[in-house]
Amino acid sequence: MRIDLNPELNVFFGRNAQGKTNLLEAACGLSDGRSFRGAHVEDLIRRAETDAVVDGVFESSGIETQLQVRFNRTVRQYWVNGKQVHDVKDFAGRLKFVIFSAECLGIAYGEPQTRRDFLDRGIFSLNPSYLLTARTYKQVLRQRNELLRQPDRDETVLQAFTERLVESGSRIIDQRIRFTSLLQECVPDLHRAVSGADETIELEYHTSLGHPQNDLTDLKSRFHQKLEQVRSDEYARGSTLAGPHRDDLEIRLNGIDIRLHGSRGQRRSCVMAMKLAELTQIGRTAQDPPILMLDDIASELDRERLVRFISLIPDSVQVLMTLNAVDSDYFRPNMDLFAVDTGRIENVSAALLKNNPDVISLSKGD
Amino acid sequence: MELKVLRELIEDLSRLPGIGRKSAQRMAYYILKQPRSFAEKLSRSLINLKDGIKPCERCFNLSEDGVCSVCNDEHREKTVCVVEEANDVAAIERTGEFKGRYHVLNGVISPLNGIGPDNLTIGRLIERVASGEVGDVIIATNLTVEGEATAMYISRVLKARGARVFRIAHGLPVGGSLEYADEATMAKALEGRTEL
Repeated sequence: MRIDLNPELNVFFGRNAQGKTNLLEAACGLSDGRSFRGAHVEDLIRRAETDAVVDGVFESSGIETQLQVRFNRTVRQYWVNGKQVHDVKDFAGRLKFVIFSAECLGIAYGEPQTRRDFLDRGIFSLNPSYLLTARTYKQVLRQRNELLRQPDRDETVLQAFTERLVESGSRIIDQRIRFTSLLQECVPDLHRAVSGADETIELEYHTSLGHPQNDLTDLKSRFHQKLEQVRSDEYARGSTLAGPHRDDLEIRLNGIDIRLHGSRGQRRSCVMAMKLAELTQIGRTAQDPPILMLDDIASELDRERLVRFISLIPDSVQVLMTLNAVDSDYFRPNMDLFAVDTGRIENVSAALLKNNPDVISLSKGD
Repeated sequence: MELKVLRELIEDLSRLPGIGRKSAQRMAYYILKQPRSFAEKLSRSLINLKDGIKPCERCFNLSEDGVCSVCNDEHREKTVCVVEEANDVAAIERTGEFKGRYHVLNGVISPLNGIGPDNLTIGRLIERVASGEVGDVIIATNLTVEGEATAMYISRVLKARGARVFRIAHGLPVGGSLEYADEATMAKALEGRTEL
């Protein structure tokens, strides 16, 4: 199956379970070799088949790049411009995107992990080698936790892994603090525009290491100190009790923590503003704006807020959006419309616009 | 349906590193087509490999008669390069750049795999250092989480015994371009800068 996308807005509509989300997941797979829902790309293989290929061509600064993920149930291969690359780190991050799905609303009230993932994904878009740092940290953490569970462990071995933990963990915290302040630069204005209310949003990275100066050496020594403090607890519980895997992002509205006290509407506006801030900052730093994927958000957001949200997306951003039903409120002059039905995708722009000439005038109106 | 003997060989071959089921199948059918002498020679080579090679009693590199060719070479310097596996010795020897001797750890410390310092040849390395046969120690374990932690561990225990311990430099590849370096490599390269 092959689809030619519009450089601005692409709307995929159809009833549930027809394959709309799979399509966005396939596109995301081209960015990081994974799926945005945390599910594995293997889940995208059609039930009766054993292999699948996701193939995409994108253009950045006038240069076309072809990306391919080939996979079956056990092996995953990455290809760039017809050449196989052997490590996902040499593949990931070429195609940048920001995803906004109904699940993203959990950023405002869900587990800290949801907010850490939000930060990590953004940092990865700006700096693909962050993947390597994150991967290293995860592995050290597993090794160190295992060691803490062993009653007869060698203290010098523990010190060696602690050293590695601090090394990669401090880098992660440093990157997260920097990314948070990058978001903070533009999030208040975006939030006012989305919510239509005169409230001030504030993002602050909250680490168990206190308030470090933005300096790697300071972070490392604080990290060591903290581990020293919690040492006996770590022995008792057999687990690493300080580090970026226990941090959180504080979201405050007029000084009030919305993770605990926000209303439904306030939380939604905050997440929308944070997503727009991510889009803005990645677009500013990368050569090209990222692709924005909006998965089924109309089912979760009220129409007024959503129309404001869409009007805030710059024209230069390519948007892939799924909807359960066609709704011309979200349309733009330059767009393509695709009908998705039982895994088949058909471009119906021409047919639909002919039947409904109001579509164009409507979208020009806003 | 494959015959039992064929299936057995395919299963054995597919356990080899880098060999999937399909390659194992091709190998098995290839061997089947060859004359009996081919199979005899191959199986003899396999047995000879297991019987004829033993770890060097000093450094755990591969040897044919108990002490490896590097340890037997009197012209080698006292510096010792610590590596994870015997094939790392072969890799360094190919370059001809290193004039010292080796110490093969036979693995790295990995709590998840139940491997601690006692499962490696670190005790023997400490003895070698204590006996005075070793000068400086260069640790050349891989730049993985486990390789780095093992290097850190060895440096701590050897420094406590007065040895001078070095880590091999890491950073940009020779002939490489700065443009393509990832953040971690670049950070390492800057950290390990040398004065001109």
